[in-house]
Amino acid sequence: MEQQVFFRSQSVVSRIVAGETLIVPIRGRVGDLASIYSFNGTGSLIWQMLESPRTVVELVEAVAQEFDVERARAEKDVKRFVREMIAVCLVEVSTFVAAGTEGPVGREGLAAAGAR
Amino acid sequence: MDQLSYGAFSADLHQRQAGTRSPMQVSIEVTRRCPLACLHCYNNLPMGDMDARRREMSKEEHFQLLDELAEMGTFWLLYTGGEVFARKDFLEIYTYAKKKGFLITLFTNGTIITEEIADYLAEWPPFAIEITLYGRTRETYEALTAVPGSYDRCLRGIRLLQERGLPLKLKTVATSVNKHEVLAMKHFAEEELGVEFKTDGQINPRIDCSQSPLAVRLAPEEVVALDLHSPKEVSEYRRLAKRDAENPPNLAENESVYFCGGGMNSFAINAYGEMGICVISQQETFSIRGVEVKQVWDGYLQELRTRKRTRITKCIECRIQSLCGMCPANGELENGDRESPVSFLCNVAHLRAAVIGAEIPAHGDCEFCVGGSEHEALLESARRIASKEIDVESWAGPQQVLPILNNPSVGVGACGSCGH
Repeated sequence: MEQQVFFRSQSVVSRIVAGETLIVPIRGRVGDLASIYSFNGTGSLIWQMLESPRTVVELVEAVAQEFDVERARAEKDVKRFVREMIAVCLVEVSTFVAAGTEGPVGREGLAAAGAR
Repeated sequence: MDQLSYGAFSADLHQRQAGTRSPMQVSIEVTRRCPLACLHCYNNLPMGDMDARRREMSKEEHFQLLDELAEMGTFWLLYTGGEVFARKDFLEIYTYAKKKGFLITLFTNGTIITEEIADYLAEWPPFAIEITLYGRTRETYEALTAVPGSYDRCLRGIRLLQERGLPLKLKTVATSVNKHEVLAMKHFAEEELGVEFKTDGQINPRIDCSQSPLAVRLAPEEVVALDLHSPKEVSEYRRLAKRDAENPPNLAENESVYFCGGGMNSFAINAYGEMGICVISQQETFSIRGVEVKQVWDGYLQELRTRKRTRITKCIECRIQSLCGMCPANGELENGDRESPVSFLCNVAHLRAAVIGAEIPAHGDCEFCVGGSEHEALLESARRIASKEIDVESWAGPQQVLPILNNPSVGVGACGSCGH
């Protein structure tokens, strides 16, 4: 997971309704169209950050700082949350390769992610 | 992350919003033009009505409306007509709404749905799409829609949507023209297609004041026989009657003319950019063109929604209100007065109560209650329904349709609100 960047799927949109962040699938074959997804405070923060492509490290740093929790705990929570979102296609993933060793796939992935 | 089923989410959100005035649901009429010319319709206009087309909100005005509704917290949208696909730019408006994250229901007659439209909807699925079916045979369907070829086109639309797994529901409006095919339509929907089906027997005068739809309205006995043909409906009406009996109306709480969700958690925008309580309440509407939607919602519509009633009618103290379709919009359309009881609906409600054995406490000067001028006739109707003299399963098709259209007593406006 450390070698990947994550970003919001273009097939969902988020709405704030009655003070709650809701994720609504809008295109076919995304998640479960009969379901609505909502987040708690941590989830809302991660979702906001994923408006731009992010690494797990960036997400963990933000959660640890915002909610004043140990980094290990934040990392566990962030990874579980991101896996859940990938499973229902709310979040997409692209491979990130360390600077200096990136190949075409890594560059294209980042470019695609950045364009979103 | 919480994944909620739609039902659980909806129930929870409604509960949290209870008592607050917030436009969670908005109905948007994109056009009143329609390729069909249904006899019972309350608002349809010909496809070629250029004046209507010129007056319709533009695509850009729809986009602006959607931006503002998203800001106001609206979550459910209903697109209705006329026929929504009569507008060539409807999918652009729809897509804009989808991208805003609204849960969208589409009402359509299905007759102009093409493969391209169906493919597009499969890619951008609505929350629900409801097609009204007007008959189970070509003859009956087209006797009501008055357009040759429309039956086959409707079936094609249904097939195109179903092949793509779209969330399709079917429904019908029961009229004197198609009543004998309601059960066949239900069978077609539920057994052959495996989709939900519902029947509505309520027909209103047109919003342009014409009373012509009433020519094909079922008789009160037929409305009741039809809805009580379903054991589920009987059970629901019994539950509602019991609830009404246990919670008598409180006059002090019933000071407003309106008592529904219209103007509280919903409103409607008509094809010409006017906000109203609902799509059929068009006596008093307020333009949103050139002004903020929220300003109209907070101002004019709130004033209308909280307007006090001017008198006590028999409806105010009625304790079978849940069995009745009466609302201010129906009063407007049928009597030209929101507060004036609609005799037809009163008849239907009392008959429902009589057939299911619900008590009807006295509630003012009501002709259908004990001692009233129509009470004996009501009891006779109830007896005929209970004894199956009036039986949905034995209904036959109308002998002729044209004489209904030619009946001068019902084809002319008799509107009390505008003098037409």
